[in-house]
Amino acid sequence: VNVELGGLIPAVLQSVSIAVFSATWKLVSLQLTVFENHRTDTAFEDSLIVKTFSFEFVNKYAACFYAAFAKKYLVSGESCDPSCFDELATTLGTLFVVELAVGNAGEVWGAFSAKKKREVAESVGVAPDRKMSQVEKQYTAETFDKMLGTFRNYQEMAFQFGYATLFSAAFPLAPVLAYMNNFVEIRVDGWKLLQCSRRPEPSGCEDIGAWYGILDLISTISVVTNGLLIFFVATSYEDVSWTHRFTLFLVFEHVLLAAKLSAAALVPDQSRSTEIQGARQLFIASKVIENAPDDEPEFGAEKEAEGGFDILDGDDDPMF
Amino acid sequence: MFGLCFSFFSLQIVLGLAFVYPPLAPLSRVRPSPHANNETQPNPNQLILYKRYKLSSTIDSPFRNVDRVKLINAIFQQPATGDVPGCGFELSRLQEKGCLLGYFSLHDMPNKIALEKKWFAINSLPHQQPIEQIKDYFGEKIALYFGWLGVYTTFLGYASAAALVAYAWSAAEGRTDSLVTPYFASFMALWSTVFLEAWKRQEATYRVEWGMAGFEQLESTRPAYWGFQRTKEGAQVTSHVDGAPTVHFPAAESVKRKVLGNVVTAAFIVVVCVVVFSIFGLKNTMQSALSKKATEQNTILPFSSFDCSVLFFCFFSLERRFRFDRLCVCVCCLLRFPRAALLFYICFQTSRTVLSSPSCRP
Repeated sequence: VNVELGGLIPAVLQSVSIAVFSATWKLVSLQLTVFENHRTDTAFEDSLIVKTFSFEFVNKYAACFYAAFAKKYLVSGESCDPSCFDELATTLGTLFVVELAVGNAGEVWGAFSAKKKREVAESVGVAPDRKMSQVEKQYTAETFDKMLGTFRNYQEMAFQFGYATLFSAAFPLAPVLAYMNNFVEIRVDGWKLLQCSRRPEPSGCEDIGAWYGILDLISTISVVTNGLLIFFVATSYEDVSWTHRFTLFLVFEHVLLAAKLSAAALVPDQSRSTEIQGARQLFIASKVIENAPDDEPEFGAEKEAEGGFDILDGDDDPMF
Repeated sequence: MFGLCFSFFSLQIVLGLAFVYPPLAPLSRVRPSPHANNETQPNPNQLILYKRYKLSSTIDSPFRNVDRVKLINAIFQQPATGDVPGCGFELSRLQEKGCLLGYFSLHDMPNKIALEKKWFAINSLPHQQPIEQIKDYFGEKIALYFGWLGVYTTFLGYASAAALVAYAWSAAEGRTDSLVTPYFASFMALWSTVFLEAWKRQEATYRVEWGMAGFEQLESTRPAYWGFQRTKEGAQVTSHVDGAPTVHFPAAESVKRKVLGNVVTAAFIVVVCVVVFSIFGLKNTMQSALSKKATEQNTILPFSSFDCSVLFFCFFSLERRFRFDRLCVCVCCLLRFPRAALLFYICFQTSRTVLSSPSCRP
């Protein structure tokens, strides 16, 4: 494999700087959020999500945005080789693969070595033939933080979603790599929970919280970035005039955003059976807990359905 | 006859309880199968009431394993006074003070092993995770993450199919920006919308099935939250809503802190931008310098797999403990002088060993 050396050192530097900044910001953002003194866990988590996302968005995607949109205009001469589109593909591919490899290896190795380290530290000065009991073994394992544990997992996945969608025009292999990674990721995360951490304190939750908004935002931004990539960065439209390209871009982006918005508006937020089920739960709770009186029977309610319909108890669930 | 009436009546009570306290038996008439135990009862709508959870090979319990953990935690932490007194241990504070080394519930081995077998099976696809079992072991929050990951990965599978087609096309065309690129980009935009919508619906279903609707309204104050209990005049601060004693954190102070937090975030973002751009500057200078050299010598510096492995070794050793000599070797390797690097390394290492051996010390 012939890789130009001039390209390799900065690429390595880039990956290192991303990792260093990520690690620093992990600590700083947590301290800042603690300092802000939020009353509930949800407020705390939302604030942390906003901080983490805005910083990491710049940190992780800056290289890709630069290669795609800025380099052409900032560097004189033959800036991109062979084109900025290809350079973006290379940058994205490198970053993504490094992220996946380092991320997974770090997760497994980190969890495993932390456990071993504590095991060794705890057994200093103990008779050599004494074996750790099951309780002691689990004591040496990592604590899976009630909030930050899933937070970090969601964070990793949200940025992976970004790599897969923001520049999908330039690097179509991203979803494939992401799929393969996640196939392993499910097992790695589960293994960490079951083998390398204490049993986490169980807690409930209603939804994935602010992460949904983050994913939605990424998916909206991706329409704009992909439009720009196709009409301004790719070589296919180089011969077309700027006005023409801009019009094409506007049409592309408007059509897709309209499709997104209408899909979001048209698809109901819950399936019909879920809706009925939720209403049923509320009804039972109102009867048993709040002791709500029965409604008056509606006038004419006994009238039989016309046309001989049978209403089944568990009617088939229509699509929407 | 009396017995029949009695059993029917008690069934009604249990039915009511099950609906009121969903974690005991999530009501799922839509999809009753995971909770059903088909042996004892006549009415399919009441199947869920007979669900028993295995605690060991011989003992069954109406409580899920995770409910027992929640209950025990609640008993420990419930204040010792009041209508339903508990132990009154503030576990997290006790741990902070060092009175407790740690508190955690033990892994439940039979359930853990059963879960592992199903979950980590190599042929289980992302949508086939045993979510119900995960929920009954870890609780809803962690299960929801894996549920989300399952849906996301399944959708990535659909995207991958399209991606492979797009990739094959551009490979055939021999360039990155091929004819299908705009179509693939549009597909991905729509794909992400469909994925998010599908997840929203799945999330609602999980919420109802797991009895989590309205959970956030029950949320309590964080243990780390602090504020003033007395005003400047020394009077107890009371809630404006119900007059109960409460703590007060001034709104102005809160805003000040949030603004400060945002300023720090912005400053960090600026720093990142500066670093990223200087790295790009370095890249451009190096590339132009090297290409000049390459045109002079009419060669491109090859980077062989040997160099790669040396580089890997270097960074690996650097990672273990930062040492100047190792850094030098790395730099030498990077500068494409592997032999010199090796020589340098051997010299340096030998001299160090000799110098640091006890006989050399004054």
